[in-house]
Amino acid sequence: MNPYLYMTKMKLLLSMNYRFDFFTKLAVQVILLFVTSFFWKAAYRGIDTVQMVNEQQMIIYSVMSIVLASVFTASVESNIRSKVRQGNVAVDYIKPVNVFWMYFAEDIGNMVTNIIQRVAPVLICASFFIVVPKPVSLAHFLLFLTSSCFSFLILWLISALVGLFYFKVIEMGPIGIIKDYLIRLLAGTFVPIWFFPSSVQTVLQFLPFIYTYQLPLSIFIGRTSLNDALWGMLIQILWVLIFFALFVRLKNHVERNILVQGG
Amino acid sequence: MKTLLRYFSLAKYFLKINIQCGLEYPSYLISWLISNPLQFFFGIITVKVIITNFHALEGWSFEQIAFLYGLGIISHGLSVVFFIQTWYIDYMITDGEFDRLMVRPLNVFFQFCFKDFNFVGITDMLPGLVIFIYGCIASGFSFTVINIIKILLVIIGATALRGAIYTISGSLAFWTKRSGILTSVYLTLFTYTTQYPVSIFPRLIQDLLTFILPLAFISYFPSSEFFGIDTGYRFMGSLSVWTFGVGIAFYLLSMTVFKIGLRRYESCGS
Repeated sequence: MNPYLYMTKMKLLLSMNYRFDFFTKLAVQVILLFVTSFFWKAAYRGIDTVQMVNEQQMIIYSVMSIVLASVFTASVESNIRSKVRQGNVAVDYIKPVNVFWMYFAEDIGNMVTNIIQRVAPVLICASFFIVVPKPVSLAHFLLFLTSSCFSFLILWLISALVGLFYFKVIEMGPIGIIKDYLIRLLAGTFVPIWFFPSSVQTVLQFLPFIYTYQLPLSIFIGRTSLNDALWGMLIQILWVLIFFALFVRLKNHVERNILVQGG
Repeated sequence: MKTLLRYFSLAKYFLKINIQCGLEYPSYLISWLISNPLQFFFGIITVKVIITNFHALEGWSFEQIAFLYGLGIISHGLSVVFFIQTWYIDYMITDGEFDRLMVRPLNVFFQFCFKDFNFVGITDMLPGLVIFIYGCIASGFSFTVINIIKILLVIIGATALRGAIYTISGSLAFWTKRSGILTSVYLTLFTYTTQYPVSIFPRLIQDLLTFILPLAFISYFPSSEFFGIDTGYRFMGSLSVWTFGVGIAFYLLSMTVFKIGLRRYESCGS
């Protein structure tokens, strides 16, 4: 079997084993689902449309945001972190594969598991109790899917870039958490950027964050027209290329002098 | 009296060792000092953005929510300082860590409580304090002696309540051997029920948060008392005192659960 396919499969099987883990994660997801929908219902009380988005659209936005967040996993960074700390990274480099393709394959495995295990329950729960998250049209839905793939690539590359730093500094504490908080705020995962002051919005246009969550989500609810969606995806591709170029450069630099500590 | 003094001096000693442990890795401390406050400042920015677009949340202005939000985070930070060991009870059980505590001639619950004094938790508390003081000033909160005593009662009660819930859920590991993952569920619950007015939820959930799992007492009820906002619930006397009472009562309950659980303890580690 192709070694990458095998790693994807192993990750899939492994994560199915942790059933208790699965239920608690699901519980967190369901709590989030209800809290955000109640939150927006309270905010929209007596108000019809804000920034061209109505209550229904906003709730679909947050449901799909939770769905995306549960699909997108990039464990590459924490993977490198723990492996560098314990010295296991040396073992990975002995394997006759490209190390980063291996990490990527593992994350794809995680993602497939997440789609099976987490997306379905969240969507079912949302449809029964909150709202049926229906895309505006088939075209919007297809663009949403494509755009989400690019989003994943951007997020994965950011995560991998942060991971590369661990080779250099060995331990820098919760820097990954800072990155996660930044993405959570600036990518519009909870509150879309269109509610922010216009100057902030202009600045964020030139940063990669809104192209990770907000773009696919606003395509899904139809706030972004099909034409704008295509332009947005072009910018997404641009960011993927920029991050990939950066990643390759940094990787080559880092791999030349890897320090293995631990046993 | 003599035992009490002995426990007191031991607690001081545990505290000293724990602070020294925490200072062992200063770079770690610094990065927590950046990341933890960031989270809460981002949270309050989110609220600000929402209120600017939607004017108010269930009749609460931004300044009032800042007060409630800050108050909630202060007790969160304190509970992280004092009760973090409850998040890992399951590891202590499966590793047989309790064996060590049980052979010592000291109360196990006491040792357990003072085992870990995680003063990194202060980095959680500081942003709460900043946001809370901002909320106090901006919302015209009057700093009278009575009000300050009330706030202190609320903080003690809320911290005890959070700690109690962590202890109870952690003690479940005496039966199930695993409970640590539940912490993430509780943290999510705590976050969303203490940082926004509970009135955004339907009445049924408000009832649950008042009478079953009384998280509404952590910041929502006391704040509504200070601002004179009607919550739709009637209580005898001051709500701040209620928070204190509920917190202490839950803490005593959690002690009992812990003790019953400890009897079931079998060291399954090696």
